[in-house]
Amino acid sequence: MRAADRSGIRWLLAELPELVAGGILSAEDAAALRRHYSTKDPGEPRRIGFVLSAVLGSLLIGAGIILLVAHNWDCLSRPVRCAIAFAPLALSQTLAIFVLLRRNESAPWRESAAILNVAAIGTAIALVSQTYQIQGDFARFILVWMLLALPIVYLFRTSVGLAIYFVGATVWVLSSKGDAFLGASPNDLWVWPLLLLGVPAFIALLRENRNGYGTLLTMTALAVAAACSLGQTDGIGAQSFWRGSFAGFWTVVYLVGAAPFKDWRPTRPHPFVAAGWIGIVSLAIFLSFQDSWRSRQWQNAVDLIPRHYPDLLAAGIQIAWVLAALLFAAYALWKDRGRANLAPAAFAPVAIIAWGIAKRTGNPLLPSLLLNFFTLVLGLFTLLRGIRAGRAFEANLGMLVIAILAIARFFDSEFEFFVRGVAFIAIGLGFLVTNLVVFKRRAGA
Amino acid sequence: MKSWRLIVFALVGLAQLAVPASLIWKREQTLRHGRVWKFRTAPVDPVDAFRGRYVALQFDAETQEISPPPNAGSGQTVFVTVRQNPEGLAEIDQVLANAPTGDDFIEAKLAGKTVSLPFDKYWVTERDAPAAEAAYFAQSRRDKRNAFVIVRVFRGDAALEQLYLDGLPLGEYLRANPAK
Repeated sequence: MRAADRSGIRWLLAELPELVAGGILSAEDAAALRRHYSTKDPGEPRRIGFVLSAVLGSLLIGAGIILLVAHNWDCLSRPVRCAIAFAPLALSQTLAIFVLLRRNESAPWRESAAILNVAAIGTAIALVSQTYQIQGDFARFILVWMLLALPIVYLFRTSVGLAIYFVGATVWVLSSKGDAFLGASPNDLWVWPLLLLGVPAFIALLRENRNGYGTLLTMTALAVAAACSLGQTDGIGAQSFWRGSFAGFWTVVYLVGAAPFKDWRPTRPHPFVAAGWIGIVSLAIFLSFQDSWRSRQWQNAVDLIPRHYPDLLAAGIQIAWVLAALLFAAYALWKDRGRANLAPAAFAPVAIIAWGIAKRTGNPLLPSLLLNFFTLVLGLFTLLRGIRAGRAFEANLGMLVIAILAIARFFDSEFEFFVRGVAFIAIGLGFLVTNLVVFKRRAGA
Repeated sequence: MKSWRLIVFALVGLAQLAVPASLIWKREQTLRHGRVWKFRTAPVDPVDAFRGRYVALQFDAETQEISPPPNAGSGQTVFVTVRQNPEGLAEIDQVLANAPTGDDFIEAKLAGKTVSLPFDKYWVTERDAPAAEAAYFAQSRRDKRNAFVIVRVFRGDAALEQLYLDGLPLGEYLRANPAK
């Protein structure tokens, strides 16, 4: 039984007496329904609570250990401090062996043992560094820590551990330049193999429990890591192409939530749908400004077909994101048959075409017009879809997209106040009429 | 099924122990066999959330203009040899692209026409940190240059051994001059 159905079942069971009283169900039928639904899935909610508290407890203990370490006892001699540094590591390893032998089937045990062990690795390295005044750079510390944590993720099949690993990879790619937090160096491309090392564990997690909270947490961490890494990659490869690669990225994020996979959180929208909407609309609005297409880099010879290997590799990764978005969109179109709103997925091809025009002509007007057109059509399509299906939320979302586009246009054009006033009244009326139509339809149906 | 997991975990566990152990081993070698150098400090201060509190150090030697090896860019790893000046303090002698023979050199990063030394934090207890910072500032002002560190150098590794203020190790100095 799907986790998301539980509230529905509770509602149904509460309705039963009324249905019997109203003569809609016979008492036997009601009893049969009650039997059918109350025998199933008694352990589920308790298990989630247990996992959650175990994970939280382990995180708190791990953080507590790190804080104790940060207190830095200098009244202790060096060997004693070293022994203390190794103690949490040795204890967590003992616990890990116990879990592998005796509690391997229990997710809370595995998650807790893995998190404690991962925290202990970092603690041991940090405390030894402090004791011996070893300076080492921060990025390297994170890298060693994450590489030592990775096998633990696989051995213990831990979703929180995997999320920590992805976050660690993000911290690494952002801090790998030493002092300068922004700016990219070719070394940053190593973040992709680093992320790929975690992907098989992620796929296993998806297979095991697609709609679980741990899976969602890990997926979010992976998406954030991919966004940061892609940002760094754009700085190395074809720099003007970030418009295309991030259009691809947000399209993929949207489709992960919206595409029709088997058993994929069917009763309510996936959080990635919301994230995808926000990303796609924000970037589309940004690119609908002419200024966002004015760039000195169009003339850069290195652009898109770079001559050196790291640049070439980076450009390959940028293009790979676009290809992934296009293939993913094709798959969704083929499988979906009109259930989900796939219009936002058109963002990737539109952004690529706009980029191609800008690259070829160097004229910022055409690409910005294209993006304006796309955003308008996206809003209208969503609005009409919502009205037709009687879904007020979707209709309002479409209106909202149109409204944001209209507001954006006021920022970069010099319309008179009168024109702006009329336009705002029109948009306001649009919202009212939309809702009126939707609710009337719903009432009529 | 269980046994392969245990074997893999045993290897992983050994690797986990080996990383901090190798740090200790390398540092112990330096502390035992390294040559002692005195570096005079010059001032700063942040908080490193991950590793407790420390005094951020800068050195006179880091402001010394050097001639970088040919084709070496900023941020690149270089090998630095050190000499003693008449005051008995260390200053940079040569900056090389490759490790020299012998044990007495430091691995550092090139920063334009200067080098950035690989020891710029001195960790102190949470309790002592504010007093240590204040004392360090008091002793490394422009008009009063009384702070230096003792560093042991061995095959590229530089082990920061002690911070001296007014001729005393930090701990003793703080006991002799308690915060008012």
